[in-house]
Amino acid sequence: MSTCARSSSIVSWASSLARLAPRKSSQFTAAPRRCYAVASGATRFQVFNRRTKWLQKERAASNAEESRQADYLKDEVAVRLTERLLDINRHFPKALDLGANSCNVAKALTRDNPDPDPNTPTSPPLSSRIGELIATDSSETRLYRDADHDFNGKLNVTRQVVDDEETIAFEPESFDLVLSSLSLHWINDLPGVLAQINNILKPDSPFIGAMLGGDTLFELRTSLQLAELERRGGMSPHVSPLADVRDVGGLLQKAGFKMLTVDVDDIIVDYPDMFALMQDLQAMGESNAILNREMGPIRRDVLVAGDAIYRALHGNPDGSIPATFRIIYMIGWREGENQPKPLARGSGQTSLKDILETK
Amino acid sequence: MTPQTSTRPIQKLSKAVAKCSVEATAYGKCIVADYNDVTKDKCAREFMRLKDCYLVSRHVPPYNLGRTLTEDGSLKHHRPQ
Repeated sequence: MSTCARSSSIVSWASSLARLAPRKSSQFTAAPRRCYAVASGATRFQVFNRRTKWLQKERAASNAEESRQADYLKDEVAVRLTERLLDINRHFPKALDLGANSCNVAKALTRDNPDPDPNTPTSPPLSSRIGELIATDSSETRLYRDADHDFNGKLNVTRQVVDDEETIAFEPESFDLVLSSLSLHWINDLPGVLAQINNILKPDSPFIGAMLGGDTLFELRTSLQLAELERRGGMSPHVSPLADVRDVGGLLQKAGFKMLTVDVDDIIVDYPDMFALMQDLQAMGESNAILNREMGPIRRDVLVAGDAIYRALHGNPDGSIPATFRIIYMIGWREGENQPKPLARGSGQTSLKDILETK
Repeated sequence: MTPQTSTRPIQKLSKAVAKCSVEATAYGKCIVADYNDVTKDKCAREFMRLKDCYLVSRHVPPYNLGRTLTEDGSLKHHRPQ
């Protein structure tokens, strides 16, 4: 792939984010790019402040009790993510959990009877099929938060603190499986990280990831926008720009993955008020870390106005407010020998029309 | 880790706002009536009522001087004799 094609793919990804991004930020404007004058490897769109994100994670995890209470979303997504491993009948000697948070994936892997099929009421935990799990995260406090819990004894898990989550420092072709649960949405250079994941996988090995995307927290986004517009006459970003389902398929393909599966799952959580939602987001370590955000806390007037608008615009009849988390699950395989490949175009012998009409 | 004993400001705010559902609903209705055309201070009147209410329900002087919050969420003004 030429440099030109790669950088234009990044631009198309970023321009789709620009719909959600603040109008005033100029770094998203996809100016026509002249392919012959691009410095290689220089195009890196900075959307999130990595240091702010690291601080937020450290702070959130330093209050272990509160942080565990707010882990409901990450635990649930980790369970749904690991369930996808049931479809792959394999042993994985060496697996990587990229952006492990507090090792929620490791905890989900050690669950008894993971198979939801009622015909198999007892099944061995998925961890029996994993030789070694390496869990990496940038936040040490969060990574080691549950290091003394029971699940650590049921799985060979090694925790590893990394300085920069966007540079994966492992040998090429060293893993049989890469998992990632709810951390890719804070990556600035998503195309680059996906390409690196593809690189560290052994041939014919899967990457299974889950990230927040699309309409995640659209209720909070719209309420705060309206509140800031009415109270202060303008707005600054409070909810991250997120990749959409369409983007993820293209990104995986451009990173070199084969046999892609991308699906979406909405988890809607009800909260008593907007303040409770924001407190929980903070305890999850998922506070706002956009580079161009307004510094300092949100003003009290905006918060109060936002809560009232949230209720009026999205509120449930019982007085609670819903918050949507849209999870994008992605599975991609590194290219390998003897891997099933799509047939050549035009080689089909059966008409789909005949099959569908007889049904 | 010792349990937190102090109440965070946002929890105080949350409690205070919860007592002002009448004003909050009025403000919310004003915005949602035409949310494609929101301008600065479009619903300033409704917001000031809401703000008055939560400042009083927080019991922060001097806003609660001469005013108390009644059971039904409305403000009662006391004029000094």
